[in-house]
Amino acid sequence: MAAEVLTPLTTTNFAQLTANGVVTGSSYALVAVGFGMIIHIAHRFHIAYAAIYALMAFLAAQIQTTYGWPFVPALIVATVIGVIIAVGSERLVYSPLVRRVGDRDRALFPVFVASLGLSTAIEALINIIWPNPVTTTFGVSAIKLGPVHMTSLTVTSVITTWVAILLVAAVIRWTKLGRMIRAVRVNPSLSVDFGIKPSSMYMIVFAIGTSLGGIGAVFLAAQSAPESDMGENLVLYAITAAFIAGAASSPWVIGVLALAMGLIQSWSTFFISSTWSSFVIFAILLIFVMTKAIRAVNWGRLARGRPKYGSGLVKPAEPALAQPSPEPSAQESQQRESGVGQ
Amino acid sequence: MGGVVLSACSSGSKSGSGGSGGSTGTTKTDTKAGGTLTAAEKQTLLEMAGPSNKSFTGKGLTWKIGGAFPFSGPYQYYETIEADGLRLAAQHIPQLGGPTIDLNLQDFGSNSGVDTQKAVDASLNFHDAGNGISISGIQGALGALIPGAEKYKILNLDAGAGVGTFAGKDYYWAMRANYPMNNVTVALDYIKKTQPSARKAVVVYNSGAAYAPVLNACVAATKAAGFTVTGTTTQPIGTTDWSDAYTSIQSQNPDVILLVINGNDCAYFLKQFATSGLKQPVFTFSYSAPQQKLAGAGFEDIYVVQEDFLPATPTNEWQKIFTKYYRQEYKDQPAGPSSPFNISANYYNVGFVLWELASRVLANKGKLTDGTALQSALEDNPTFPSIFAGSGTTPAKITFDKTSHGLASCPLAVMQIKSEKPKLMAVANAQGSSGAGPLKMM
Amino acid sequence: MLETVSYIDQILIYLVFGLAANLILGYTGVLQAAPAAFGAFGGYAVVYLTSTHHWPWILAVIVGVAMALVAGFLIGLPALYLSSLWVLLLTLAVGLVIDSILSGVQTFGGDNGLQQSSSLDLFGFQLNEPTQVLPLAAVVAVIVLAVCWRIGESPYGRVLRGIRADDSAVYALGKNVYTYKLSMFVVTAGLSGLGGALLATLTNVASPTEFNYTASVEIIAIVIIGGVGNPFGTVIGSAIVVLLVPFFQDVIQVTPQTAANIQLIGYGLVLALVVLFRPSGALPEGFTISSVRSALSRRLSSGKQAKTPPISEGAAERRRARQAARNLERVGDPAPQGVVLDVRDVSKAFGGIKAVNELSMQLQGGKITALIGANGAGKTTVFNLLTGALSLDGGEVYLNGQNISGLRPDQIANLGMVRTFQDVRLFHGMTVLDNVLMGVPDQAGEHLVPLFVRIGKTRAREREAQAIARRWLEFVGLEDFADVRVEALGYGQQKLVSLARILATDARVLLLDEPASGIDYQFLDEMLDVISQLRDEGRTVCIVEHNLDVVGRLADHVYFMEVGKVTAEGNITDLTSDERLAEVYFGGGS
Repeated sequence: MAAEVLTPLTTTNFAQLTANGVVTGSSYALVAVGFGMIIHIAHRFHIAYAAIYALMAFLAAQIQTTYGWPFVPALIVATVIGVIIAVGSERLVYSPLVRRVGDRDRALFPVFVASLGLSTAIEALINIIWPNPVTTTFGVSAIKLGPVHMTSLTVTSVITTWVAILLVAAVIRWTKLGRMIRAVRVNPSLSVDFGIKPSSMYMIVFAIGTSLGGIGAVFLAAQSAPESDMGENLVLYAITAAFIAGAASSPWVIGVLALAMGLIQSWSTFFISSTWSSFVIFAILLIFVMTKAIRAVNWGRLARGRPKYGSGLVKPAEPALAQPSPEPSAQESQQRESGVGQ
Repeated sequence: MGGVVLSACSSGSKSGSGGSGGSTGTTKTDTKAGGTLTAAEKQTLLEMAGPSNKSFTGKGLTWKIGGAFPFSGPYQYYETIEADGLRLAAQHIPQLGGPTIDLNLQDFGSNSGVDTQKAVDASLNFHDAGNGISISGIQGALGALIPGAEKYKILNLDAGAGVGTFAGKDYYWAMRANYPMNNVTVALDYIKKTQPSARKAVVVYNSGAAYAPVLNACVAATKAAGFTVTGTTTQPIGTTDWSDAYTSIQSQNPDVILLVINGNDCAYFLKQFATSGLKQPVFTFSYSAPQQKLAGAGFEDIYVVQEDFLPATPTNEWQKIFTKYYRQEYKDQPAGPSSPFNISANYYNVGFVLWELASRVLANKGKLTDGTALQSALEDNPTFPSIFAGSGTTPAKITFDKTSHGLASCPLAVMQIKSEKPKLMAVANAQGSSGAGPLKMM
Repeated sequence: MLETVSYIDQILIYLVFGLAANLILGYTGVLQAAPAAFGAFGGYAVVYLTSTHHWPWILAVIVGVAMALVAGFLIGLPALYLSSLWVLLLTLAVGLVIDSILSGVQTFGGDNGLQQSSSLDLFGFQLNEPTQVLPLAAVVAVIVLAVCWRIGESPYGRVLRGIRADDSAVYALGKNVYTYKLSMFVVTAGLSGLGGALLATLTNVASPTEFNYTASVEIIAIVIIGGVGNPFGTVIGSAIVVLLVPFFQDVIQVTPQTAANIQLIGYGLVLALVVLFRPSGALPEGFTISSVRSALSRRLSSGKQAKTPPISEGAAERRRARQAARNLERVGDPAPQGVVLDVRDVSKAFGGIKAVNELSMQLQGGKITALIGANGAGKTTVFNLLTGALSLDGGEVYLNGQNISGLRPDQIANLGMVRTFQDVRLFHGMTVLDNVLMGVPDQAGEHLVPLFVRIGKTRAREREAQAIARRWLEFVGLEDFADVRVEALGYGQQKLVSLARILATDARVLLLDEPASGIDYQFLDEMLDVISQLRDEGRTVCIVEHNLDVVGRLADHVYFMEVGKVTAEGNITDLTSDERLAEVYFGGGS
């Protein structure tokens, strides 16, 4: 069998792996918050997020090497291009699809498939444009905090990450824009009555979500280099964090969950081979959804004819939805379709 | 299938792609591409690497050769590195009076590993195209080419890796030292000479079931050399963030780090290494211009043990010719003193090995499309001239192992990277599965 | 040659995968995001068992398929209780976990996978070359195509399409949606296992990349591009997806190295564009050779299609026809006397808000009872509770003396109580006749075993069911619209179809949720006439209605509901003359 040796669990190692986990977890957090906003608020299963993420990293690296721009302006320009592509796919692909299907929840799968198509195409395009690796430059210096080794780059990226996430959380929590975004999340058709245009809100959500990704991508690429598939696992981790957190949760909750996943991954190397590090996250997702599924099973109903009180076939709504609802049936159909955030 | 003939373009078209010519599908050699060899160069090449039996050169014949490389996906730059060496050989051999070489290049993708279906289809394509031989990369496309090679009796030569876990598979041969075990042994010999106090080594490699056999072999080679293995540090292939690995190494507190990982992984490890707090000497076995570009100063002072080939200071005439034409032809590849890289040279070398095999088969009145005849021609005398090491117009030799189908003997060098340039420190000959000949300090 | 044959093999093998995925994704509308993952059971079983343990090929395949079936069952069992988004997530996670396990476990060779090292044969027929696999793959693909086509075109397929359109409406008609979903989930898993076994037989390799996320995306692409819910479309989808590779590689000789990536771009864009501009895929649902032929023959025989008469015409004739139809109707049980439905203290709360609070009411046999109240009083919730669409928090419901509390909607429907929906909930994408057929009980063709074993009985029962459905369409005056898709009908007509649909169930207790709301004036009489005839037949009817005029004309007894409770009962005149109630009713709404 493999002679893989695990890292022994000592205080120093624990401190270092915790720091590593915070760094990795922070890069997960940006994607989780960005992708999570898009899935939870706009209800778009925007899997092409991964490809656009990689594209932004490549663009930033290319701008730095070709034009010799500094890190930050390159990041901004790359992110702007990424945002244009993301908002463009919402405008030109997802939103027309939802309009045709007539309901954003029923359109979930068509949007998912269209997004898969976009994702495949963008990734292949990246491979055509950049057949060779592109390097980035970032003056990195070592930083030692007690027994823990970090670098100026990772410290900067962690700080930037959490500033960005808390900023987004604050905007959503306390600003007018945030209230509008929340209204659209809960009920887009109702929000129209309050003069909110869901389509504009969705585009703003795509822009914010993609920008977060841009920051993450460019920092991540600075640690190593951009790769066309660099976003794929991150988006899968993001799905895990976003859904465990639930639709109604604040961005920082999703972020903290993603951070926890980075920590769990890092700590898991004390116990199991790093081969299983992505498995750990997928298993968490599987166990979470499976538990939810098993809880949803009404075992009494499964056995024919045995009456039992409990969860019904129509899920109760989250309180936000159950507020004064003029039409009982509208309320019910909301419950039936949403399923999110229970 | 296949059938339409493309001519390779000589202008080094800037299509954003690394290679100069040949899409997937057959590529007929354009003698003008690859540059026209001078009379003196032809003389040198024929002398150093031409077929041993000058009466059978295959002149006038067209020889169809299969090639399987990752044309798409994240590892597609390997296609450039590898296939370009082969292409150059295919362009030079006819100029030297050899057969016209028809390269039938097929993609096996590299999204999340290797696209098995594409690799399998590639071997069927070779069969259909009447290829008796095929050249491949990424270890027989991680094994998916091997059943086809066996079934259709297509000799498959992989010049990018050792035989790895596929040792002894019929029709599957790998033209590198028993990589990386031989390289590890040479590295340890060098450490014993230069840093006698160093006794403890850590082996850094890919995690996962597929890589465990190689990892174990490296550990065994390290122990055999009299070192204590403090442990292993493993990360999945494709890892970009190596901080957890540094923690693992730190906790083992070894005297030296044997960095067995390849390609980008190795570059990323070294890029982040400088700020990791680790101070131990690192020996790596994978060094190339793209990696140098990725890791930049991360390679400073790192030791590299690989084929004895320094393009900046060629030791023999064959290397000079190869380097000259490779740089001329593939301008859009990462350049620098470390370009072209040993793998590209090895694929160039493969072309001449093939020519020798062809000559032997023709001498036996065999057919070039007969993989079995080609394999027995190889087994008859498994020693061939090597582009690596050697001096002047005298090439060194490589010898295949008839049991494992990897190289039993091959020239290796210990280099240290100084200011992004490799500096030759010592040479040795890899021998057997994990042994090495005496180390010659430079 | 061999490569060409291999491409044909691949088209056939991916056809098996695609057909399987189409059953669950296309027909049933369950978002199974990892159809390739179940193929790993078959693929790895074949290579591992034949190479390492020298099992015969067929045994290895059987074991592989069996494992896929078991895995499908174990995952589907809880998963199908979830809403579609969560099913998508769960299957995605299952695919990723299977992929990680394959890559991580030594026995499975990790990323290298397993290489076939022994010769394969099936009863002496070698299976080592693409040419040798071809007949096998063709036979399997044709059988699977026939099976899927049979399922799709049968009453069973009709139920699946109904589930896709609106699963709670299917439940309400007495069909156990969950069993259908689970059956299809398991069948899909098993067929995918078979596809995986064939794939590994063809490639001689079982590796994670054959069964990973990317492979699943390809299979989903096959279903979408070919046509959701059309097995013949899947043939086209499979051919397109498989042949994209050689097309870009060998036909369009694009510039160096970009070939492989251009192919991926092409494939990605095709996928996105199909979803966007041709959601029905290459061959839309219902587009089969026979449908084309019958459409052609119709056109040839009649010159042009018979124009469907506008519904407003000929109401009198229809009434007479209905009378006649009623006389033909099987003589039901005599109108039951006394209490048919007894509701005792039922309660339901949503997140602290008591929508129904210890409500009691009774339906008298052969009478029309109305439930009225202001918007938000909880009337529809009562229907949801009575029919089992929502579970009770407390209280009991007795139907004909039997305690039905806690039963599933389909069980309650089968005990003889069905409901219509306020928002109609017809099965879109299906014809009027198919909608009504969904209500007809005891259809042999709605179960998998008789569908394939008792073909004659299935056919005979389908003819009977069609006759029943047409009779009820006649009853509501929509027989001329039998072959029209429901979404083409007006709202009033749709309400009549939904009525015909529940009448077809032959249930004796009917709960009608706002039968008259939103209907044109011209249909109102028709609707009221139909409902009162139902009472005359001896059925027990309960209506939720806002239009007090309608209530007055129909109802024998009226319950008045306020915030989850019945606060008054009696006849409509008594209730409307109560000032307080009038205030609640009219004042509360605005």
